Amino acid sequence: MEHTLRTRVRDRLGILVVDDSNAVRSLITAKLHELSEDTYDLDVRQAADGEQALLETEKHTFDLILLDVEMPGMGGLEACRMLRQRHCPARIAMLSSMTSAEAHLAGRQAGCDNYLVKPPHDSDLRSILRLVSLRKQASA
Amino acid sequence: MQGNNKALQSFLIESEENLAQLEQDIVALEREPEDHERIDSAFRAVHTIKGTCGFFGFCHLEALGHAIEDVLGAMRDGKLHMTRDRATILLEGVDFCRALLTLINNDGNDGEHTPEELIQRLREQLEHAEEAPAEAEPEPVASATAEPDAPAPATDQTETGADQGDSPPEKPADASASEQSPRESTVRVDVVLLDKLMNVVGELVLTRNQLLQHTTNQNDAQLVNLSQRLNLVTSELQEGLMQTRMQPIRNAWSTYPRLLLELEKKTGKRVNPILKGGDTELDRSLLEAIRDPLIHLVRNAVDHGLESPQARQAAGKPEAGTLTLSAYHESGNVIVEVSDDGAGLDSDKILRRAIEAGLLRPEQAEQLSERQRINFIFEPGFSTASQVSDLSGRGVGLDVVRTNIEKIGGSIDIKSKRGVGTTIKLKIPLTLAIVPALIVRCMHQRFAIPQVNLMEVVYLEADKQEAEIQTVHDALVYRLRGRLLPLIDMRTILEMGERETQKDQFILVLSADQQEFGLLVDDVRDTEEIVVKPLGKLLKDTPCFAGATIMGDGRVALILDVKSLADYAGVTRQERRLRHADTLPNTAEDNTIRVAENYLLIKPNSGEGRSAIALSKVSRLEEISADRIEYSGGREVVQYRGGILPLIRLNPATDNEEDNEVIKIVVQPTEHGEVGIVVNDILDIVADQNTQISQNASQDGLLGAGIVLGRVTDFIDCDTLVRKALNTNPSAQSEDGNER
Repeated sequence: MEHTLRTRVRDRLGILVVDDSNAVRSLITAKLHELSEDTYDLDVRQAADGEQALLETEKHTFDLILLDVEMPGMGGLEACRMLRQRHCPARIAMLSSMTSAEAHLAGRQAGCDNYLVKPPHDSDLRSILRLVSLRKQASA
Repeated sequence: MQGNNKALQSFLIESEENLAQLEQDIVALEREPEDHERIDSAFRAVHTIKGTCGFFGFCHLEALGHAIEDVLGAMRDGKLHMTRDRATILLEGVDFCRALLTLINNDGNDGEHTPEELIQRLREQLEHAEEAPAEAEPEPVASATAEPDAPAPATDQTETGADQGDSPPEKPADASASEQSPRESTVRVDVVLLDKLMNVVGELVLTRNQLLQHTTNQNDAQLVNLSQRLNLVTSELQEGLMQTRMQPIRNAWSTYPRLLLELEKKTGKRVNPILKGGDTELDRSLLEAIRDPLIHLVRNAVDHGLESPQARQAAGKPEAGTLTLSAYHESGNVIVEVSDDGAGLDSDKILRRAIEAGLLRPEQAEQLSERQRINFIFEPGFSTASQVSDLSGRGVGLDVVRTNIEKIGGSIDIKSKRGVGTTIKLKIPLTLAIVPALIVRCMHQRFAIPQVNLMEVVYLEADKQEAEIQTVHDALVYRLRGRLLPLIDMRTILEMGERETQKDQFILVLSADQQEFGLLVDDVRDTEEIVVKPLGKLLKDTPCFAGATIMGDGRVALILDVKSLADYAGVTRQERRLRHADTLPNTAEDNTIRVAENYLLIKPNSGEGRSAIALSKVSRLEEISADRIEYSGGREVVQYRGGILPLIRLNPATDNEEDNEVIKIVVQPTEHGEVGIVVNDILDIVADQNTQISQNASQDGLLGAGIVLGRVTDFIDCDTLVRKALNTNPSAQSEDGNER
């Protein structure tokens, strides 16, 4: 049982959606499912802030983490830095409403792979999913 | 008991006034010993104090008063002459009387000891009196001839304002003389009561405003008539009450002669004070607020402004320096000027000090006008006094004066000419309680912004926003007539929501602390005279707000404290940085360009090369899916924020899958709308580089190359690049697209 579950998980993309707004989390989750329909299987989990996100990554392995920048408590930038320190292998995409060059660079320096502007365009998410899937296949 | 207490209170108040009068008279007599009216006035003042003491049994105060009275009596009788030393002893007596009054106020009695030593010294003066008449005899003759002239300079020097204000010149000049008659027609009112009344009238004004707004919608002629009447009466009441709170500025000046005397003694300089416009009236709370700043300015003027008598003589000036204090009305404000005929400010010294203090960089200095240089003395942490004296060098600089003046909605300005003198001009509003304000809207809330802080209002169309609002150092800026203006977005700063980018906005150009910044608001409503109400306890600690007011429609609007808002948003620091960046030269010399801008370092393509784009030309960075690229006229474009964003590629398509999947674009505002420059990667932002760019026109779209962070970097000429890209033949461009 345990074994079969594990093999199945490998075929699926594990995604963590981190945002302090429940509404945003739900919307993104729904959007991800919609975009990956027929293409990927998704395991989407959610976290409301940086701390929760770190706890989640201790319990589960993710291929992609969508990280909001501005959150109460531990924000996205710090969470991203911590995740990178812990050698979290997931692709991390920041989601933020801040579009300045500085904000963008701050995300970069925290170690994110992509910095998307809220609300993300469908194509952007689709591309990200594609990249995640490609990397997963390559490492498998 | 109750009655006794009341009597004691009025004794204290009266005695304070008498002492103030006495003090003024003594100081005046030191300059004009033969002013008989002054002597009489001083004598009367101390006599009254002494006399009243008997009723209460304050024997120590009585004894001291008696001794002072004796000295003044001898002077009145021509047996003794006022000298500087005598004036000093008499003033010591005045101070001691004050101390005793404080004691009485606190403990109900005047202590346990008579100031024997002081009384003894006063009595010693009288010993000279016996011999004096013989010596002094020729003097009265001499002064008798001088008599007709003498009073004229006396009034000129100290009370000119009174003369100008009133038709009978002599009487009002002598406060004690004029006090006799109006005494019966004036009533003493507790300040607390006045403040309370002001508050109530404020409420009335608000209710009136509401009523007026309401009645305009009614069809009742009678009601409209009555409310118009109420309107007028309320205005009159408001005006009348404001007047009762007005006090002549002379009250704030009353201590100056004494102060100057002390300053003269300490510095060895001679000062000739001229006070003009002492009758100019000001709300009492404002008068209190400017009292200390004015004293500071006067100290400064004598201590640093005026030269020593020797230096003055050498410069061909009269030995005694002139210190002019004048007050007058100007367009709804009261202007108070403190000017001296001293050495003026040494702008070179100021500059040196400013550079030392790190307020500016040496190379910026040449660009500054004389005025800008002088204004550095208002910067925090600035003091040019090479040696700190106990007069002005108290660690309190002019910046504190400026802060205090600006706190009450005033402003400060300085003019100085080397060798000729310095004039500091304070502009103070007439009253604080009711201020003209601009009402603005941000989301669903309205805010009042005092007009004094408002410089101008800029209308910003939604589709121009992206082009005109830029980001520097993590903060918004707006380019106002070629100058960078730090911007605060009201929604963001008050955490009301995110910046509005889809709708037209207004930028209010506000000034605080001599720095300007812009405030982004949703809408501008109206100007209104608002009644300032203090904020309730719960809101006391919030930054940004000066109070609240009730609008005509009965709703509450918060009043913005512009200075605090600027501090809270960190604009002050931001502005300083911009200002420094702005004052840097940006003219091309020979074939090098000096750069004072922040640059975004990018990798133009998958190679090792690096390029830099001026950050002021970057409105945003975006990562988008390559799937979003569409073609229009053979050119790559993406749909972006409801519009079409043309793309310009610095890199030919690469094989790197990630680059083909998600592209990075630098969005730039141009005169043709925004364009996106596709880059391979974004590396860093380099701040304020003084990079030398060597211009090699080898390639269009490049300004040249320079060394940034130890590596050769191409500086991208965005304007040329964009122009070239947008003007090129679409077919040529399409090759680029087809390659992909």
